Amino acid sequence: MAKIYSLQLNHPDDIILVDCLLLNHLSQLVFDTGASNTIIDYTTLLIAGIAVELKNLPTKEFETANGIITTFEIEIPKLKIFQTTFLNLKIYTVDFFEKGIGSNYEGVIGLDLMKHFDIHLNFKQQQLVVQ
Amino acid sequence: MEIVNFSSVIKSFPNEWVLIGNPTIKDNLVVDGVLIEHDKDKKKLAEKVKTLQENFELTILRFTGNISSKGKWLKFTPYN
Repeated sequence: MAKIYSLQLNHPDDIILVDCLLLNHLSQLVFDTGASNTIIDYTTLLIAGIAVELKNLPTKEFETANGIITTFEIEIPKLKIFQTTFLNLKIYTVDFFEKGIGSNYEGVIGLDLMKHFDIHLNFKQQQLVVQ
Repeated sequence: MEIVNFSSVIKSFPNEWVLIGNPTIKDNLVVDGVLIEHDKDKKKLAEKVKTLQENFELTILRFTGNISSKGKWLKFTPYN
């Protein structure tokens, strides 16, 4: 059965934010079709109770609108997006504040996870429909 | 653990990051909840919180001010 989410694009600078459950922390992640992978702010991981030591983790560089940034590959125990829970999920993390990202979102959902869903966007009706 | 109205949190701690426990959310807006911690610095908040979030079924982070009126241009694509 389809589930409908409101897009809440009320201001010209608004973007599509999705509430995702990172362990028991409700995080706002950007629904970003320009992102190949899912990336979550390192500070958000700490707040959610995921204590991670970054220095020995594998890294991956991403080309962003801010230039090239280096992220760290980690495995998180649980992330729920829409009605689907992903366990032991590989994502990337970086300190958003250090990279000059000061907005209130806590990460981006990338195509790596979007491909698991049948999603329809209706901007005129401000709806994101997950089949 | 006292449940507080989120509008009072905004008034009491303007332009701060606040971590709310077991929030009531309506139309994507936080109505009330338990104020776990607050700080102007998000990273300092994370240090203060440590394992406090374990005491709650759900937590949510919000900024009580206006963060950014800038447009957004995000993309994260692998480099090389």
